[in-house]
Amino acid sequence: MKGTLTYQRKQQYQYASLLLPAFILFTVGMIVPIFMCIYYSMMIWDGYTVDMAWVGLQNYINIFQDEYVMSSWKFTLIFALVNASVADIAALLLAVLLDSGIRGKSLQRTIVFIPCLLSAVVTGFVWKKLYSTVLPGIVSALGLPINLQLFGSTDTVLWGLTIANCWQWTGLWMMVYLAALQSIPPEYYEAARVDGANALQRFRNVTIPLLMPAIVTCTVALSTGAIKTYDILVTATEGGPGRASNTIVYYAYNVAFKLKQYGYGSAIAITLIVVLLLISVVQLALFRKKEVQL
Amino acid sequence: MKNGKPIVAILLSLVLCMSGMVGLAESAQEPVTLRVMWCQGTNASGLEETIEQMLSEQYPHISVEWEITTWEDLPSKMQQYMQSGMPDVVIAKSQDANNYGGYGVWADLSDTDYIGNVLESCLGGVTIDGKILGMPYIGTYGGVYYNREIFEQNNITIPTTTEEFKAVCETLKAAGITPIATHWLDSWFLGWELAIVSGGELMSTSLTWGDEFRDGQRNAEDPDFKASVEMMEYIHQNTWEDTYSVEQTTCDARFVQGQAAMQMDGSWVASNYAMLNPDFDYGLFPFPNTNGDGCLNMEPNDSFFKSATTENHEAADAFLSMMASPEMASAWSQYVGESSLIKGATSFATPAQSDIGHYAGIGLSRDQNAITNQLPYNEFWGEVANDFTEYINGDIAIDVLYQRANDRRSVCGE
Repeated sequence: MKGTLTYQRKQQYQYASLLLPAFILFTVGMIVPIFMCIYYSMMIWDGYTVDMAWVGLQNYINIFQDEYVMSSWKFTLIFALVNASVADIAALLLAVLLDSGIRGKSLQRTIVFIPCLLSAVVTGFVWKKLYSTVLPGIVSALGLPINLQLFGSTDTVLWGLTIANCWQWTGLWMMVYLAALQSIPPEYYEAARVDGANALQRFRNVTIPLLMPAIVTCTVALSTGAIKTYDILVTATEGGPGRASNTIVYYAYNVAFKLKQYGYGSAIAITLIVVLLLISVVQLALFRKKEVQL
Repeated sequence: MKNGKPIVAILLSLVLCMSGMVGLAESAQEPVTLRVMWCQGTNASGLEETIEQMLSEQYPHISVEWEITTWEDLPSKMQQYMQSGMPDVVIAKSQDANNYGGYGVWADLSDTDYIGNVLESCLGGVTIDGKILGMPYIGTYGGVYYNREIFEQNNITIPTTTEEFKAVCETLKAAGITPIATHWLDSWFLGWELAIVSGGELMSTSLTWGDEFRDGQRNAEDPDFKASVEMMEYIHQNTWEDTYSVEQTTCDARFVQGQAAMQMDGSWVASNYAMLNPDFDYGLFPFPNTNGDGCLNMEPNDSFFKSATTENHEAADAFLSMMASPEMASAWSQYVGESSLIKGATSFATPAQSDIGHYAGIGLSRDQNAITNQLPYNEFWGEVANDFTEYINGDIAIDVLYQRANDRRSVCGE
């Protein structure tokens, strides 16, 4: 008995020691900065001097009175909804297509996946050039009456960014769906075929329920990732035209570093964390219900 | 033997002295690596090699560890390095003497030999509380670049007042020529253009308009500020329809191809013009204002700052001394295609050089720091430019734009 306990204790220590490096990194890189951010959010601080003035929750009160925060949140949520929907559906459909017996699927899979290897900053540069010069030049040469200068108007900048963002990330989530599709046992499809189900019915009643874990992963990751969009904006639109493509992260960065209001920027960042947590919890709860029913 | 001892003693002493001197010489030449952070413009990319080559010839014991960044990223970099340790040398804009000088991060260069190599007229913008905190190096001249051929063909004389400028635009439109080239896809450019147009109007009223505005003595609803915004609106009506989709290089190419008669920009366009068409003939005049006393906007762009906390003072001074030499300054100016602010340096020659000399000679050239030291770009002009775009798009009324500008007094510093 004494020997068994000692063995169990040893196993626990082994697990703990293996987890310790990741735990330290996570704590130092994520948890500690969040608590520091909460501390700064209750100060007036320009980010440069050692002098800070305690203001309590005043920065959070100011958030609700700041029209730029409201407009940034509005754009961010619309951008997240549109991008998550488009990318999620496109990734799933592409995965289904590549899982079928089409020719050249390895090449097509590679072509779709390659953009996610680029940095978002590079993607922003590329699409800025495409929309401002290359695509208009092609359209003009073909004599087509189409305006593809999508970054130049407040009415089209959302779609311009959606195309660029989905072009970059759809391939990554397509791979997740592809792996999940290939793990579905073919017997389920055989059984459904025997029962007389057509392709659409098999997709709805077999594929979707068994893909639910992958759908949860991709949907949560895509929506929270879209809410945190920043890099692509730096080189693509700089939040413009004007403030038309200002996301909440871009606005928080500008407030903290360009306008030298580090405390207020920290408060905006904390509200972002709270919103992200809420969205993730709600999504996970909804999808979990769906899994149980099916 | 007895006589030999003093000789041996003398010889030994000499050997000891010589080895000591060698040791001193070695410690004087101890390798030093300077950390240099450079807010580098695209036209200066690759200039590091020229600098390193000259450094290796003059100061072989000094090497440079470069950190290339952009001016837009400078605020976050400065916040980071002010906490963790500043680079030895920072190459930024001269307005950063005022932006960061109050935090005590820059060394006082007033008593250095090399600061005497800088044109005296450029030192005002980097002098804070009586201390020269930076070494201005390259000057960009902003104004209205115009196509001489188009102007001659249409018998257009250089305008000095707002009314004359509008008359020129009407003449060009009647001839089927777009009057003004702009590239408002670059949001920094819209803010810069607004600052220059406004600066011309506001400084004509008072050289301390910005300070008076912060003190509440002037408002955005004043006639001069309103005139600036109205002029920006006029520019929008007389430029390309797709200006919000046009960036710098496309704008320069269209201008050189004659798709517009004027381009309000800085002298960083000169190298682009030369690359696109070496024979392109253009001139430069100050942006007109209501009173007809508009000035060329001279921005000491590349400016050198030494960290107040550097442990390599001597090496940093040696580096800056080398940079302040006419030889290095000439090489830099030729490479980036802009004017040098170092005495004796040969500036990049452009077709507009005679115009620059003319206006500078009659006192119609103003240091941009006169505007941005009072109303900083990030906190004021950049935000007003965003408001202007919202106004142009019909998202806000003009009164809201003026009110927001007034509300920014509190974030413009002291």
